[in-house]
Amino acid sequence: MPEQKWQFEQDGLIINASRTNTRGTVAWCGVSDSRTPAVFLRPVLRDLSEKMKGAEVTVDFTKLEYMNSATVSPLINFVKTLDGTCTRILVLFAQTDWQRTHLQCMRAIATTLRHTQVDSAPPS
Amino acid sequence: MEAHLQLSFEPMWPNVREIRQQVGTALEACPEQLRNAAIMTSSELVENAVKYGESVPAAKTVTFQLEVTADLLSIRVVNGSTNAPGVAELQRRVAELHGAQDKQALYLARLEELLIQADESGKLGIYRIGFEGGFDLQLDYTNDVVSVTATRNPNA
Repeated sequence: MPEQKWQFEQDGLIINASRTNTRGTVAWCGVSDSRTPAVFLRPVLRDLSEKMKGAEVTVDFTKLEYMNSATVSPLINFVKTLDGTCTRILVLFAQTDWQRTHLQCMRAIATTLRHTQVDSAPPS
Repeated sequence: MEAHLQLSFEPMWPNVREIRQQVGTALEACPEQLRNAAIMTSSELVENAVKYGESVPAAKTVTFQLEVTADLLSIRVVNGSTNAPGVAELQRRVAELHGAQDKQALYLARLEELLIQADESGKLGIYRIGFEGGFDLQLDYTNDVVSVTATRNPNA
Protein backbone atom coordinates (compact mmCIF):
# COMPACT_ATOMS: atom_id res chain seq x y z
CA MET A 1 0.00 0.00 0.00
CA PRO A 2 1.49 3.42 -0.93
CA GLU A 3 1.64 5.89 1.91
CA GLN A 4 -1.60 7.76 2.44
CA LYS A 5 -1.69 11.11 4.22
CA TRP A 6 -4.42 13.18 5.84
CA GLN A 7 -4.55 16.53 7.60
CA PHE A 8 -7.26 17.91 9.87
CA GLU A 9 -7.17 21.48 11.13
CA GLN A 10 -9.22 23.72 13.37
CA ASP A 11 -8.40 27.03 15.02
CA GLY A 12 -4.73 26.40 15.77
CA LEU A 13 -4.84 22.62 16.09
CA ILE A 14 -3.43 20.50 13.26
CA ILE A 15 -3.58 16.71 13.20
CA ASN A 16 -1.35 15.10 10.57
CA ALA A 17 -1.84 11.41 9.93
CA SER A 18 -0.28 8.89 7.58
CA ARG A 19 -0.60 5.18 6.92
CA THR A 20 1.37 2.55 5.05
CA ASN A 21 0.51 -1.13 4.98
CA THR A 22 1.73 -1.86 8.50
CA ARG A 23 2.49 1.47 10.12
CA GLY A 24 0.59 4.62 10.95
CA THR A 25 1.32 7.93 12.62
CA VAL A 26 -0.98 10.53 14.11
CA ALA A 27 0.82 13.74 15.06
CA TRP A 28 -0.85 16.56 16.98
CA CYS A 29 0.54 20.09 16.51
CA GLY A 30 -0.36 23.51 17.87
CA VAL A 31 -3.08 24.40 20.35
CA SER A 32 -6.33 22.69 21.29
CA ASP A 33 -8.31 25.24 23.27
CA SER A 34 -11.73 25.46 21.72
CA ARG A 35 -14.84 25.64 23.89
CA THR A 36 -16.00 22.16 22.88
CA PRO A 37 -13.01 20.36 21.33
CA ALA A 38 -14.94 17.08 21.22
CA VAL A 39 -17.21 18.47 18.50
CA PHE A 40 -14.23 18.67 16.15
CA LEU A 41 -12.14 15.84 17.57
CA ARG A 42 -14.62 12.99 18.01
CA PRO A 43 -15.55 12.56 14.31
CA VAL A 44 -11.94 13.16 13.20
CA LEU A 45 -10.55 10.63 15.65
CA ARG A 46 -13.28 8.12 14.85
CA ASP A 47 -12.31 8.42 11.18
CA LEU A 48 -8.61 8.05 12.00
CA SER A 49 -9.30 5.00 14.17
CA GLU A 50 -10.86 3.34 11.12
CA LYS A 51 -7.95 4.36 8.89
CA MET A 52 -5.39 2.97 11.35
CA LYS A 53 -7.03 -0.43 11.94
CA GLY A 54 -4.52 -3.27 12.03
CA ALA A 55 -1.43 -1.04 11.97
CA GLU A 56 1.36 -0.26 14.42
CA VAL A 57 0.54 3.32 15.28
CA THR A 58 2.58 6.14 16.78
CA VAL A 59 0.51 8.88 18.37
CA ASP A 60 2.81 11.87 18.70
CA PHE A 61 1.92 14.75 21.03
CA THR A 62 5.41 16.27 21.14
CA LYS A 63 4.44 19.27 18.98
CA LEU A 64 1.27 19.98 20.93
CA GLU A 65 1.88 23.35 22.58
CA TYR A 66 -1.20 23.56 24.79
CA MET A 67 -4.46 21.74 25.37
CA ASN A 68 -7.34 22.54 27.66
CA SER A 69 -8.80 19.96 29.98
CA ALA A 70 -11.81 19.47 27.68
CA THR A 71 -9.40 17.99 25.11
CA VAL A 72 -8.26 15.23 27.46
CA SER A 73 -11.36 13.02 27.22
CA PRO A 74 -11.42 12.69 23.40
CA LEU A 75 -7.63 12.24 23.45
CA ILE A 76 -7.51 9.35 25.92
CA ASN A 77 -10.54 7.69 24.36
CA PHE A 78 -8.82 7.85 20.96
CA VAL A 79 -5.84 5.95 22.38
CA LYS A 80 -8.21 3.46 24.02
CA THR A 81 -10.03 2.89 20.70
CA LEU A 82 -6.73 2.39 18.85
CA ASP A 83 -5.66 -0.07 21.52
CA GLY A 84 -8.64 -2.23 20.64
CA THR A 85 -8.08 -2.23 16.87
CA CYS A 86 -4.35 -1.82 16.24
CA THR A 87 -1.45 -4.21 16.77
CA ARG A 88 0.71 -1.83 18.78
CA ILE A 89 0.39 1.79 19.93
CA LEU A 90 3.27 4.05 20.89
CA VAL A 91 2.22 7.31 22.53
CA LEU A 92 4.93 9.96 22.56
CA PHE A 93 5.13 13.06 24.73
CA ALA A 94 7.82 15.74 24.83
CA GLN A 95 10.11 16.19 27.81
CA THR A 96 8.70 19.63 28.58
CA ASP A 97 7.27 19.94 32.06
CA TRP A 98 3.55 20.19 31.21
CA GLN A 99 3.74 17.22 28.84
CA ARG A 100 5.57 15.16 31.48
CA THR A 101 2.47 15.34 33.66
CA HIS A 102 0.31 13.98 30.85
CA LEU A 103 2.90 11.31 30.13
CA GLN A 104 2.65 10.14 33.75
CA CYS A 105 -1.14 10.01 33.56
CA MET A 106 -1.21 8.27 30.20
CA ARG A 107 1.26 5.70 31.54
CA ALA A 108 -1.02 5.04 34.48
CA ILE A 109 -3.99 4.60 32.15
CA ALA A 110 -1.99 2.43 29.74
CA THR A 111 -1.61 -0.23 32.42
CA THR A 112 -5.23 -1.12 31.61
CA LEU A 113 -4.55 -1.21 27.85
CA ARG A 114 -3.06 -4.26 26.14
CA HIS A 115 -1.14 -2.82 23.20
CA THR A 116 -0.17 0.66 24.32
CA GLN A 117 3.24 1.92 25.36
CA VAL A 118 3.82 5.50 26.52
CA ASP A 119 7.20 7.15 26.17
CA SER A 120 8.95 10.49 26.07
CA ALA A 121 10.58 11.55 22.83
CA PRO A 122 14.21 12.71 22.90
CA PRO A 123 14.53 16.52 22.69
CA SER A 124 14.51 17.66 19.06
CA MET B 1 10.25 38.49 41.04
CA GLU B 2 7.02 40.45 41.31
CA ALA B 3 4.22 40.82 38.78
CA HIS B 4 0.70 42.19 38.69
CA LEU B 5 -2.02 41.91 36.09
CA GLN B 6 -5.68 42.91 36.36
CA LEU B 7 -8.19 42.67 33.54
CA SER B 8 -11.96 42.90 33.13
CA PHE B 9 -13.63 41.49 30.06
CA GLU B 10 -16.85 40.20 28.57
CA PRO B 11 -17.39 36.45 28.93
CA MET B 12 -16.37 35.66 25.35
CA TRP B 13 -14.28 32.64 24.34
CA PRO B 14 -11.43 34.46 22.48
CA ASN B 15 -10.56 36.12 25.80
CA VAL B 16 -9.32 32.76 27.13
CA ARG B 17 -6.46 32.70 24.62
CA GLU B 18 -5.79 36.39 25.25
CA ILE B 19 -5.45 35.73 29.00
CA ARG B 20 -2.91 32.97 28.38
CA GLN B 21 -0.84 35.32 26.25
CA GLN B 22 -0.99 38.13 28.80
CA VAL B 23 -0.08 35.86 31.72
CA GLY B 24 2.80 34.41 29.69
CA THR B 25 4.09 37.93 29.01
CA ALA B 26 3.66 39.04 32.65
CA LEU B 27 5.63 36.01 33.87
CA GLU B 28 8.35 36.05 31.20
CA ALA B 29 11.05 36.33 33.87
CA CYS B 30 9.72 33.31 35.82
CA PRO B 31 10.98 29.75 35.46
CA GLU B 32 9.23 27.88 32.65
CA GLN B 33 7.55 25.38 34.98
CA LEU B 34 5.96 28.12 37.07
CA ARG B 35 4.94 30.14 34.01
CA ASN B 36 3.28 27.13 32.37
CA ALA B 37 1.45 26.24 35.59
CA ALA B 38 0.13 29.80 35.90
CA ILE B 39 -0.89 29.95 32.23
CA MET B 40 -2.77 26.65 32.46
CA THR B 41 -4.47 27.59 35.74
CA SER B 42 -5.50 31.03 34.45
CA SER B 43 -6.85 29.46 31.28
CA GLU B 44 -8.89 26.78 33.05
CA LEU B 45 -10.39 29.26 35.53
CA VAL B 46 -11.25 31.78 32.81
CA GLU B 47 -12.77 29.00 30.68
CA ASN B 48 -15.09 28.18 33.59
CA ALA B 49 -15.99 31.84 34.06
CA VAL B 50 -16.75 32.28 30.37
CA LYS B 51 -18.71 29.01 30.09
CA TYR B 52 -20.81 29.34 33.21
CA GLY B 53 -20.67 33.01 34.16
CA GLU B 54 -23.31 35.65 33.56
CA SER B 55 -23.67 39.34 34.13
CA VAL B 56 -25.15 40.20 37.54
CA PRO B 57 -25.42 43.61 39.24
CA ALA B 58 -22.39 42.97 41.46
CA ALA B 59 -20.26 41.49 38.64
CA LYS B 60 -21.20 42.74 35.20
CA THR B 61 -18.04 41.33 33.57
CA VAL B 62 -15.40 38.73 34.34
CA THR B 63 -12.47 40.01 36.40
CA PHE B 64 -9.04 38.39 36.29
CA GLN B 65 -6.23 39.20 38.70
CA LEU B 66 -2.69 37.83 38.87
CA GLU B 67 -0.33 38.75 41.71
CA VAL B 68 3.18 37.45 42.19
CA THR B 69 5.32 38.27 45.19
CA ALA B 70 8.47 36.62 46.51
CA ASP B 71 6.49 33.98 48.39
CA LEU B 72 3.02 33.83 46.81
CA LEU B 73 1.53 33.45 43.34
CA SER B 74 -2.18 34.22 43.34
CA ILE B 75 -4.71 34.03 40.49
CA ARG B 76 -8.27 35.22 41.12
CA VAL B 77 -11.17 35.01 38.67
CA VAL B 78 -14.50 36.62 39.54
CA ASN B 79 -17.77 36.22 37.64
CA GLY B 80 -21.47 36.42 38.22
CA SER B 81 -23.73 33.38 38.47
CA THR B 82 -27.30 32.82 39.56
CA ASN B 83 -26.91 29.05 39.07
CA ALA B 84 -26.60 28.10 42.73
CA PRO B 85 -26.62 24.29 42.10
CA GLY B 86 -23.86 24.69 39.49
CA VAL B 87 -21.76 26.77 41.88
CA ALA B 88 -22.39 24.20 44.65
CA GLU B 89 -20.99 21.47 42.38
CA LEU B 90 -17.93 23.61 41.66
CA GLN B 91 -17.56 24.28 45.39
CA ARG B 92 -17.69 20.54 46.07
CA ARG B 93 -14.83 19.88 43.65
CA VAL B 94 -12.78 22.77 45.03
CA ALA B 95 -13.25 21.44 48.57
CA GLU B 96 -12.34 17.93 47.42
CA LEU B 97 -9.12 19.24 45.88
CA HIS B 98 -8.35 21.38 48.94
CA GLY B 99 -8.65 18.37 51.25
CA ALA B 100 -6.87 15.87 49.00
CA GLN B 101 -3.59 14.39 50.21
CA ASP B 102 -2.91 12.89 46.76
CA LYS B 103 -3.95 15.30 44.00
CA GLN B 104 -2.66 13.00 41.28
CA ALA B 105 -4.97 10.23 42.48
CA LEU B 106 -7.93 12.61 42.24
CA TYR B 107 -6.99 13.56 38.69
CA LEU B 108 -6.42 9.94 37.64
CA ALA B 109 -9.73 8.83 39.12
CA ARG B 110 -11.51 11.39 36.96
CA LEU B 111 -9.54 10.24 33.88
CA GLU B 112 -10.64 6.69 34.54
CA GLU B 113 -14.27 7.85 34.71
CA LEU B 114 -13.82 9.60 31.37
CA LEU B 115 -12.37 6.42 29.86
CA ILE B 116 -15.41 4.44 30.93
CA GLN B 117 -17.91 7.10 29.85
CA ALA B 118 -16.39 8.26 26.58
CA ASP B 119 -19.20 10.70 25.78
CA GLU B 120 -18.60 12.65 28.97
CA SER B 121 -16.16 15.50 29.13
CA GLY B 122 -15.23 18.21 31.52
CA LYS B 123 -15.03 18.48 35.29
CA LEU B 124 -11.35 17.77 34.97
CA GLY B 125 -9.97 21.32 35.00
CA ILE B 126 -10.22 21.85 38.77
CA TYR B 127 -8.28 18.65 39.47
CA ARG B 128 -5.76 19.55 36.76
CA ILE B 129 -5.09 22.88 38.48
CA GLY B 130 -4.25 21.02 41.69
CA PHE B 131 -2.22 18.22 40.20
CA GLU B 132 -0.49 19.68 37.15
CA GLY B 133 -0.41 23.28 38.34
CA GLY B 134 0.39 22.66 42.00
CA PHE B 135 -2.18 25.25 43.11
CA ASP B 136 -4.59 25.20 46.00
CA LEU B 137 -8.06 26.61 45.35
CA GLN B 138 -10.60 28.53 47.39
CA LEU B 139 -14.09 29.61 46.34
CA ASP B 140 -16.37 32.29 47.69
CA TYR B 141 -20.00 32.72 46.56
CA THR B 142 -21.74 35.85 47.81
CA ASN B 143 -24.50 37.97 46.22
CA ASP B 144 -24.44 35.88 43.00
CA VAL B 145 -20.71 36.53 42.61
CA VAL B 146 -18.31 33.58 42.32
CA SER B 147 -14.71 34.29 43.25
CA VAL B 148 -12.19 31.50 42.73
CA THR B 149 -8.65 32.03 43.99
CA ALA B 150 -5.71 29.80 43.12
CA THR B 151 -2.56 30.12 45.21
CA ARG B 152 0.84 28.45 45.36
CA ASN B 153 4.33 29.06 46.54
CA PRO B 154 6.27 30.29 43.51
CA ASN B 155 9.43 28.69 44.85
CA ALA B 156 7.95 25.20 45.29
